[in-house]
Amino acid sequence: MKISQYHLIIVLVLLILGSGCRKELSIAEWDVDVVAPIAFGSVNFSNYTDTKNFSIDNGKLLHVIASETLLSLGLDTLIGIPDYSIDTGFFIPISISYPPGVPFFVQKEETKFDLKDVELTFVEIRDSKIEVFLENTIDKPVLFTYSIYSATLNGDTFSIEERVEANDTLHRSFNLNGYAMDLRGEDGNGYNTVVTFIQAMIHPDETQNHQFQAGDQFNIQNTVTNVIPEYVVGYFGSQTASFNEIESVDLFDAVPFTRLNVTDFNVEMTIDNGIGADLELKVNQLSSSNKGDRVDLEHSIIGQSMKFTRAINLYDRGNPVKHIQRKVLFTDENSNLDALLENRPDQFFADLFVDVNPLGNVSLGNDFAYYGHNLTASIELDVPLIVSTTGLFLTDTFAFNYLAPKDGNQLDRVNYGSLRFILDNGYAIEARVQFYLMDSLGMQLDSLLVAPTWIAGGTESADGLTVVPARSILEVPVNQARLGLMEAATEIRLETMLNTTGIDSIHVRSDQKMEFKVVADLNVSTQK
Amino acid sequence: MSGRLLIFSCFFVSMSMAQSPVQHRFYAENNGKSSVGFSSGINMTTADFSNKFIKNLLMDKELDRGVLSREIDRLDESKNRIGIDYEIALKGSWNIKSTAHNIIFSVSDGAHFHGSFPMEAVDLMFSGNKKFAGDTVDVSGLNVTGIRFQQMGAGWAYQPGLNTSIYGLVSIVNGEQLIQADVNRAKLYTSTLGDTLHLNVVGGYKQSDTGNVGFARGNGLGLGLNFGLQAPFQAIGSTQWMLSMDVFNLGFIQWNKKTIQFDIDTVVTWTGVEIPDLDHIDEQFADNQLADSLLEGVNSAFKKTRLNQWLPGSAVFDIMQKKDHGFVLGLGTVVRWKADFNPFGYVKAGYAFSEHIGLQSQIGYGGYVHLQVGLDASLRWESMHFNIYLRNIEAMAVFGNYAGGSAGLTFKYLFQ
Repeated sequence: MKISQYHLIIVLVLLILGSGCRKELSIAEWDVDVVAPIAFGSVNFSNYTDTKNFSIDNGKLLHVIASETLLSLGLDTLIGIPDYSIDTGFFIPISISYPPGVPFFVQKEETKFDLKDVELTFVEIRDSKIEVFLENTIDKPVLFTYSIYSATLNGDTFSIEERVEANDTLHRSFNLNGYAMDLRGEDGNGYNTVVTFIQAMIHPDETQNHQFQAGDQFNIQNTVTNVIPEYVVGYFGSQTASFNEIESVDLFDAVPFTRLNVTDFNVEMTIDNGIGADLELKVNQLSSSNKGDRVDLEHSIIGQSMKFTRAINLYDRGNPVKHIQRKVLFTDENSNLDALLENRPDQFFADLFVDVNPLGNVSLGNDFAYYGHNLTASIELDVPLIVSTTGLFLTDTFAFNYLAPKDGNQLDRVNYGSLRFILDNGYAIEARVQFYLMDSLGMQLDSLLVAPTWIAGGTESADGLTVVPARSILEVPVNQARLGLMEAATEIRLETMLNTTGIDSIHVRSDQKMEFKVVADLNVSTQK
Repeated sequence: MSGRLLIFSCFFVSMSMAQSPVQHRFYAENNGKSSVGFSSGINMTTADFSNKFIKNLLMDKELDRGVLSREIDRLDESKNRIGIDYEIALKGSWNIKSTAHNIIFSVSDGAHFHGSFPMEAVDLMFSGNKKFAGDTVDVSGLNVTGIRFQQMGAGWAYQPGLNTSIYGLVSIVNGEQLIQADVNRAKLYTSTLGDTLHLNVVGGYKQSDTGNVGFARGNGLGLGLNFGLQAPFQAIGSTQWMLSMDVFNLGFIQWNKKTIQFDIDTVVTWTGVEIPDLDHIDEQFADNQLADSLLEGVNSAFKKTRLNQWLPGSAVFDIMQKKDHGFVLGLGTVVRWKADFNPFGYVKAGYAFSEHIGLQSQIGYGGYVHLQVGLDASLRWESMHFNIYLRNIEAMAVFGNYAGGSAGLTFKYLFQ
């Protein structure tokens, strides 16, 4: 066959086109040793302290603080004014004609509260409720008048007038808030007594006399409830009361340890009398309990009666009472309170006894009390964190979610290596740590360190003001098996056991921290 | 003659140009005929890398640590260059009424890559940064340029005498792909424990539209000009010489407005992701903050806009004795622009077995390499020209010390 020039051209074109089908260039795989920082941060103890229970002083020393009211004795406890009601009525025994506007029923009545030994002569009402129910079986409307002569507000007596339609009933609610009540009765020499006045008449708007029929009635039910005094005066009687207070504390729940030595503390009990009566207080017992393991407070206050003179009435609505206070200080010299704290308590227990007017009515009926001004016994605890500890065990769990790179799981390229934790410990506390990978069911998948490893503690200066950090480096071996577990993990649990490293106690300051850096030191393939 | 043909067949040579352009002088010696043919060639040349390493890298499954180690030891501290050129072209000419004039045409696909790598950049890339812990890696001076383009052109060739010709070819250039990175200054410090990386980088980057990638995709448009002449002259007594001068790819490409360009001048210190709160550690790794840090230095200068760029062209000046039989000598030089190419000079010696068959060898110095050797051979008949070349023979012979490999084939069929 003769090859023509056209055949050659076709062959050339095919050759050129064929050259476009070259095999893609690929390069060999190799391994590189990469070292790069992944993360850094710091752990500061003060970040994990609830502000309610911790404070920082000017020297940046951390303090554990707590405040608890052991006793509060106020108006509601001393003088409970009971609810009371007046049920009365008018019954017409015979048929009689009566003109409108002329009272056909008038009743003035004294009601005396049962307050046991308390003899009140004056009450100013803070809150109260009066319910009035009227029933009229008469064929004419009746005008009803109800007054409490004992209650006045700005010189006006409490009084209400209500029209009750013929053969009808009426229900009304009122209050005595702000009213001053003279409880001395009509003769002015009594106590706990309220004077009321009730009156009924055919309504004056009626133009004709009414012919009462035998059996006609007019019933009145008057109820006074929920009386909360703002201010009372009188004799509060000679009362005694015992208070057994149990206060649960969760301060130490997450901080188990085997030994804690609190070297300094400042605990103050404040007894504050805002009541205008003489008082006697006895603290029978204060103790801390750790799951039933009780430590009782030893202090001169225990079992001793403390007498408090009455508060002073200043008659100033803005600042009506001058309280009488007494503070009791607990130190490591006069008490064993540190033992109560070192007991790592879950409960505090207080047994108190109060005697009101132990000498009787020496004020001649001039005891007084204002709302919100009570007899209180509170305890304030301030423990500077100058401590030594052994075996303080901390556990924290934080979410962990390995994020696979978007272009595939690059971890397949990791051959071997380690995650390097560089720790600069600014606390004079050595720590034994271990990390655990946890799955979503809380099951432990792996421990990151070969064995729990000690992190060296810093060295505290003699004055306790500075700490020279100690560096520790932890290597977490990494291989494909472990990376697979990291991918399956949803949480990392950190378990730490702390021992203080000072000769004696160490100072825990807000500016101290443990700095950490995480470095990946890996041998990685360029392809997989 | 058969023995000579056997030798010729073994070498398949006629003219050697170790770092001459892949473009071939196609349009000379038409002798009043039309022609059609192709030329193809690929040159890879480097004085700094070895063929053993490049073979290991490109052809084996895994990189041999020993090969890599020896390679790094022999690299120049600051500059290790490599250049790659490729072209395949369909060419032809149409003789106008059996005169000395020809209309010529060409369709081609070409690519050029050149790069310069400091030794530590190579070491960092193939070994990782761990071996530099506590030290600074200086990769300043790293630059790479890669460009691929297609051309379609037409022109005119004139051959007033047997060995005298002149031609010019104007081409429309399609810019397919561009990648260019210039790292003027880059230093990476890795702390001893690996807890700090400090990167100081000043450089620029250009890349054609990344969303339009593939053979002959249009990302830029330009013009290219090839022209040259060939003329005989007499010197050194009555010796006949042939003078050739060619210019290839004198032109430019305007890359379109989707071309990525940015300059970076930033200092980044990376110590990892800060974790202020251990309780939410997973959320704090949600983003790649290292990438964000680097991009802060880039984003302000990042832009997509048109880019005018010269083509990586070349000019060849060549003188060669013209004999139908016997030993021949010659010399020449090649200069290139926009290719990070040192001027290349060479001397040639060959043997013309007949007016149809020739074999030449060449020793040259310059370009991307230092000393290099090439062989070139041709077969010429009245209606058919073959030309084949092998270059960088020294790298093929001393495999572990030199690198490079170039080969090309040209075929031309002449007809009335």
